[in-house]
Amino acid sequence: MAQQIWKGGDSTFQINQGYGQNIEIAFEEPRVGLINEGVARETILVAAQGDGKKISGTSRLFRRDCGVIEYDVSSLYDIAQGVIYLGGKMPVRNKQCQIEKYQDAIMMFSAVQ
Amino acid sequence: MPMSETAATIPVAPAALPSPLVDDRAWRYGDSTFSVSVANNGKVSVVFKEVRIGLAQEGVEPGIELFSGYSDGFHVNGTAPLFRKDCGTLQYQVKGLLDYKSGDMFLSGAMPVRNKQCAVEKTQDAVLRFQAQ
Repeated sequence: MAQQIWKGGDSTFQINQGYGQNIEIAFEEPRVGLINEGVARETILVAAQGDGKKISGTSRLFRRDCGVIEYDVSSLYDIAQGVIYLGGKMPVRNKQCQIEKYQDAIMMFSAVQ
Repeated sequence: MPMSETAATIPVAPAALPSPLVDDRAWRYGDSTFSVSVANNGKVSVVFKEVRIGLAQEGVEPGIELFSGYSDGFHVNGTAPLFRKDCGTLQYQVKGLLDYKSGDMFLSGAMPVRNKQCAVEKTQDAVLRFQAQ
């Protein structure tokens, strides 16, 4: 059976639910800007643990010149209804790759009909 | 435009909402704070407590409702207003998820974007997160 495709921003994703309540959000088709940063199909964006309604875990930031860093995210989600919200304090790196501030980031993933 | 004229409802399971949910927590979104209440019938109301400066300049005051809708105990569905002093208030449909106990709510919808003549020229995806402090 074909796996459900999810959309978030201008990228598409696969949601992988593992043993227990492990959830991975992996790129299916990354948007162009992320491909330029080294993101490819099956690259994991979010790894988290859920309880059916809430998940918490880490999301990743990709920059080819600085490498990948992770930050904590938490969320509410309903897989059956096809919606996942994620939010967290996203680090913002300067040209020297140092974290100079954090900003609120909110992501929404919705199942493609 | 009248408030809540297009408010959508979803079925409410009474057992999921045994009593009104009201508390003193301030829920934060951006630089504003809100009170969030859930009535016995599932009606959810998000009301400004402290208004960020930019919105205050658009005429928003404490006590004004930012979200009006209904919840089945987890899903929420309703309307949110956009405030612009020169154009008036415009409602748009939003839906989301609410975990009242942990103090977390996400809302999303296609937010209208108005031009200088106050005409809606496009919509953009908007996601809001309210977290109890």
